Amino acid sequence: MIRRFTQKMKKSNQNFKEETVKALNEKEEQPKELSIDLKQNEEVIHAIYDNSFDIVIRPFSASDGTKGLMIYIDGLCNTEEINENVLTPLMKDAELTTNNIDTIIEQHLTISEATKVHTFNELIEEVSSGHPIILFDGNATGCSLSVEQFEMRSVDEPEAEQVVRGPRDGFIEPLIVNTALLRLRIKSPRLKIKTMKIGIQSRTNVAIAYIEEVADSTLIEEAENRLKRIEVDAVLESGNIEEMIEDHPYSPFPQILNTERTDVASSYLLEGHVVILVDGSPMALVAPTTFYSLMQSAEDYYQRFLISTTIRWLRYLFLVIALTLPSLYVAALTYHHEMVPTALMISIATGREQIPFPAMVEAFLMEVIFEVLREAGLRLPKQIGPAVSIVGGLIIGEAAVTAGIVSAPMVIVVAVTGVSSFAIPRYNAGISIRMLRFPLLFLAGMLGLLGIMVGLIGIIVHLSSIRSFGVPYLAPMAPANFSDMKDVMMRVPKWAQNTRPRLTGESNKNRQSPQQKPSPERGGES
Amino acid sequence: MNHFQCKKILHRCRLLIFLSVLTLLLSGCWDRQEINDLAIVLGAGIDITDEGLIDLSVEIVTAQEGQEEEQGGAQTYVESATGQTVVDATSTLQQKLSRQLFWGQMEAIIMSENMAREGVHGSLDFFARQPQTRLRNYIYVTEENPKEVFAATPHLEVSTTKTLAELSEFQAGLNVTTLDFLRALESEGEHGVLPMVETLPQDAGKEEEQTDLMGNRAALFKRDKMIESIDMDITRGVMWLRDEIEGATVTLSPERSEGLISMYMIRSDVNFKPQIQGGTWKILVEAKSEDDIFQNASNLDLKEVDNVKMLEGELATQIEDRMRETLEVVQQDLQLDVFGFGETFRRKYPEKWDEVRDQWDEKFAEVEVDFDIETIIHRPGLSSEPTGLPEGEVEE
Repeated sequence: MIRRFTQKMKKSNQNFKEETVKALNEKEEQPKELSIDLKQNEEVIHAIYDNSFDIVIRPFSASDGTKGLMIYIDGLCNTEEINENVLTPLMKDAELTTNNIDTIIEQHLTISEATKVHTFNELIEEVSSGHPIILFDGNATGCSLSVEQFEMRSVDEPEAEQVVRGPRDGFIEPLIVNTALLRLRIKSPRLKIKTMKIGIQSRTNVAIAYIEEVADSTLIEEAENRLKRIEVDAVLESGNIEEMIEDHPYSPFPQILNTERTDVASSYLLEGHVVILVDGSPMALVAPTTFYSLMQSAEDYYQRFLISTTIRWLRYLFLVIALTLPSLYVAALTYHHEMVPTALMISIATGREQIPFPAMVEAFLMEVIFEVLREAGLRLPKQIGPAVSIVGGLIIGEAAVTAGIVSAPMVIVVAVTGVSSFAIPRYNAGISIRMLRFPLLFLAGMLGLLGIMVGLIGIIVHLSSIRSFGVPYLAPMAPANFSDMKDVMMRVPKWAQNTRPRLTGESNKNRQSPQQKPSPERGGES
Repeated sequence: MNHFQCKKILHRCRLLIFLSVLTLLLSGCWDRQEINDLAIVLGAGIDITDEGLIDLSVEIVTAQEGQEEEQGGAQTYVESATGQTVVDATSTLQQKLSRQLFWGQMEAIIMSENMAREGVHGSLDFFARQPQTRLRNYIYVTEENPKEVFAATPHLEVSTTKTLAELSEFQAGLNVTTLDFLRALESEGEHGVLPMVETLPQDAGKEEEQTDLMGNRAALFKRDKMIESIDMDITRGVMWLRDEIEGATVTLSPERSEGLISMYMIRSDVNFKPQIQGGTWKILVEAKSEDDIFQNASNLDLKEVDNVKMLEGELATQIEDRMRETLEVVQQDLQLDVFGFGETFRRKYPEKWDEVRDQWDEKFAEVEVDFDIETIIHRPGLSSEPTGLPEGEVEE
């Protein structure tokens, strides 16, 4: 059966390759270059945009009498601007000659950006991006006009990464807005944004942003190479890209950070990371990423450092609780009864007296119910969401205990675990921790504390063996770098964060002048 | 995805399936034990029957939910069985129980005096050898049948064992764990001492079906056999010398005044300084005690430094008297080194110790004991002058 499966896989693999080649070839069957004859061009364009009602192909006569053609996608461009600044001058201006596109752009078109197109591929790409194309009879060069305008939501607060104190702007879908948001934060011309198109059908714009002389040049090269390797039909979200470029596809841990926040993306840029933006996705990817950056929240850097450090420690504690609490409970209850203080043991024993299931099954049941409730609450329409939490949290929790299916201590354990996992600021990191809880629970039920240790050792070995774009995942703890721990074990004050992290910002070490610690004596110092 | 990668994934899949199948062969969960299947032993009592059989009684938690909600705690009951050894008795006991005996939460062992006089090491071996038991549980001797002690239904705690553990932790009496006791048994320069526990007789104001426990006496051991029981005063003295006294109250009647003053000791420290001069073995007991005045029923003005100094002196004398009295009984009459004098000599004079180690008990009786007692009275309390006395009657 496995053999048949692989054969099938091989076959489908080949099929896909053939198809993509066919998709590429289709364009090659058509004439590549625009022709001088407008009639011929029009036929080709009609053939390309066959059965597409939103394509507008509008013939017109220029003021010198030449036939012209305008092609655009309805709904992607500003028709008012076309009327006023393109069609009006072309059809009304007296001294217009259509044989030179350059003079038309220079003298007649009153729009800010216009480029020349020579091939059909260029033409298709421009039209798809919302740029109308004008062609003239007797001229093999077309003109693309940047008058795109499409519906988009406004820049608003990122819902997945909220802060009490901090900026409220988040990335939105159009790439051009997102790059502009980055530019707004980092105005230096050293911020470079390269783009490429990925996806044979979707032709999605993907931008790589980095800061020249801060980001390692080999990192930029590596990121570009990984992106160039992608050969898919479409990129619908940055998650598609993430899965194609991460180092260890089977690892449960996210090796590329995604963020909706412009300030987070900017801060990573300033530390020498690369930010990948995908058109149509409000989620920016940050590479390389370490385990500890998944435990940081934007607000850590806006609050005063003592508070941030305390909260960070709390998070590490909750990380351990979220991962191990149910398995520790099960292990203590099924194998290590002597570990529990006597009074607690007796009260747990009393609570468990009527429970028909072994502790492991009980824990499994409750954890699965919790995950289902979480997932259900997430996917439901907003109006029904609260209903799920009422049914799930109140009725199931309370009734299950009263009915003697689960014990009250178990409900507490599951609740604490759930809440702890939500204290991890990155949702995807929280999920991977929550999923790892299940194998650990299973090991605890099978082997007790020994099993938990085996599981934890496995997780730690895995964590310390993986890398993200060449950076060890557990850096700067393993390999240890004392200076970089200033942002891991604690969050040192801004005036002490003089150097960039070594593994990403080595080439431009200092990020601020040293000795900026404020004090009363320095009050009037200028 | 090329052919090579496909093969690699396939290889991994096969390996994973193979390994998963292998796990089915493993006999996992072999010592898994659900809490519901355990009979949690809180305390064990060991007695010896007239036929010389071990009579083992255990206090077991009955986790009944209905009662838990009303009382906020579990109920216990006592089950017992006899056998040639403790383990033998255990197996008989197990036959009477529907759940597996679990020793891991045991907090107290009570031995009957009869049993203790016969020798205890054989029975204690079970608790030391058994991996489940904590050696940090408390251990007691009782003149009564341990079953009667377990049958006591104390007012304040839910079970006898809990009461005993709390009593020990409160340091009202001696506080000896199984581990301490076994160490003392093994040590050459020290004899064991265990607290004794007894049920209190009915008294006015108590409910009839409830009995309380008290443990302020002690049993002295020579090797593993109990020799003598000592009363409360001597026990306090032993506790002083073993540096185990805590939270004691001392009442004395000052010389220059009428009436009594009670002090509460907040801190104490006792050290032994061994010395061998020629043939005489000497030990200097250095004691330090810090006290607060809790009650002044005399007419002494405690604002006066001289008065406090005098009190400190009298307190020191009182402590010394208590210790001397204890030594008279324990050192001279019983000749049992329960204080660890031998250990301190062994540490300081290992060669000389080797000469006397076999006759330490006789040598112990000859050891001269000196005292150096320092007392400090920290706080006279809120009212420094005696309350309710006219100024004229106050002694300054």
